[in-house]
Amino acid sequence: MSNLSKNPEVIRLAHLLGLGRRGNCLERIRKYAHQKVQELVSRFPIDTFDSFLRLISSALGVQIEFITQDEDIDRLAFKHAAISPTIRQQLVAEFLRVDTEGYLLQHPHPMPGDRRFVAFVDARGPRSRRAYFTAWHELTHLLVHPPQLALPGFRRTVVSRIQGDPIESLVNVIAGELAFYEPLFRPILDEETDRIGRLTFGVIDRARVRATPEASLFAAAIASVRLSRMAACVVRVESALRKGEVRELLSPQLSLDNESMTRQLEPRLRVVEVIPNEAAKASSLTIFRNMRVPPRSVLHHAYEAATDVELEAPEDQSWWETTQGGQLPTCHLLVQAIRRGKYVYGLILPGPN
Amino acid sequence: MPAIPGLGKRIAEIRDRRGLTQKELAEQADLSVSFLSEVENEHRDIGTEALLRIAHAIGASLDYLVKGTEPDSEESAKPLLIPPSLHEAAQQRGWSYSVTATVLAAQQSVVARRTPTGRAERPAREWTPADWIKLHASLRLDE
Repeated sequence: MSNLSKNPEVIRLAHLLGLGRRGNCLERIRKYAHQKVQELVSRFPIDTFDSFLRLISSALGVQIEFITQDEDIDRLAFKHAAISPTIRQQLVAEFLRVDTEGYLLQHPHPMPGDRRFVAFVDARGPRSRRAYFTAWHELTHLLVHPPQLALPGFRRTVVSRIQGDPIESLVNVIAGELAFYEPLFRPILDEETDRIGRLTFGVIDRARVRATPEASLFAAAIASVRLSRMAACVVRVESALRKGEVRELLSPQLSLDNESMTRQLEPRLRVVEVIPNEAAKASSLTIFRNMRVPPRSVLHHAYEAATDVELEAPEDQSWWETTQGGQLPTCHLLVQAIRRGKYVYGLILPGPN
Repeated sequence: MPAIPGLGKRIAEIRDRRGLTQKELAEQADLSVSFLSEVENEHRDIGTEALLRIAHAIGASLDYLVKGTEPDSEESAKPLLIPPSLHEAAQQRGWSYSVTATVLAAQQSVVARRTPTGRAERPAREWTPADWIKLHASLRLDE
């Protein structure tokens, strides 16, 4: 996150938004987005996430259209035919031939009162879990779009197919916060947490269902950990190679010694995403991305389970090894692991001493 | 929410343009027909929740419903400018003016796209002739 604040593209965006180039640009862009949202909410008070999504989308002039089945494409192409004479071909190309999740189009000649943008969001099958977040992602793009670039000549666009794009990452951060807008989500989360006395996946899921059932459990877990006052960290684990191993695998040298290399490169269960909250960052909870999951951890047992499970156990951080083979310092942990389909998530809290 | 002058008229105007009856809009917005009728005739004030439901159902911008004006509405009057790289692609492939304009319109309508890996289209570099040719192929205009 700190790297993102120093990224030249993020600094440029902050400059274009009139927020200056110095200091923590990520933080200033976040505040800018939240301030715009806050102004709207103060003028149009809302008390549900449905209303919140409707408010922000209508204020930004965005019509959100969820594609829940292939047949929706014809209906939506007909409904939004005025956007482009090739709207159907575009939607077919994006959603039936390419793996696009969200597609934001601008209306070239809107009539008075028409929304100027349409966000088509893939909500078919397993994508339905991510559709809610994708809708917020598209809205956030417009929320932090510099007004001086809001001309057709600059909107045309082009393609940066780079994974880990800084602006996309920035938009994801803000979208994650808006999708679980604190004034609406915190009271529900606090109420559910108080019933048990601590954060659990059960608490998070009950809060999610009450507040915004369209959201995924993982997105809700990230938001809940962020809002929790107690140290907590959410992780996603999957079988993966170390970064260095991936580099080796992609190296041209591999072809010289193919057999010996492929024999050594064996994916292990690793932390592929880790999101600690501020309290965790300030504590001795220090699990990092790419670390190997200890075989005796409940995270490992959940991964090996044949069906969906929820497991919890007291563990110790010293079971975890750094990529160089060193041990992490001792710290009692309470680890919850949950398997949902092919995904395994963990909730890590400081445990009782 | 305080009364918004002209709101009812603007709701009725866009509802008519969408070809919706009061009954159909009331159903879509989960409101009663009598309530919608009173709002349209400006005999009744409206709360945020109902306003947002109506705005969503008729696909109207909040700015227009509340203020009766749109920001940046002059943008749509701009003439068509063919970028040099599109001109080059059109020459290479022998596209007609209408095909070239269609490809340009398709490209200009795109603001952003998102894929599972988070990749997206956004203003990062100028399009090359190859980009235009790829877009033209994806649109299958020759079929």
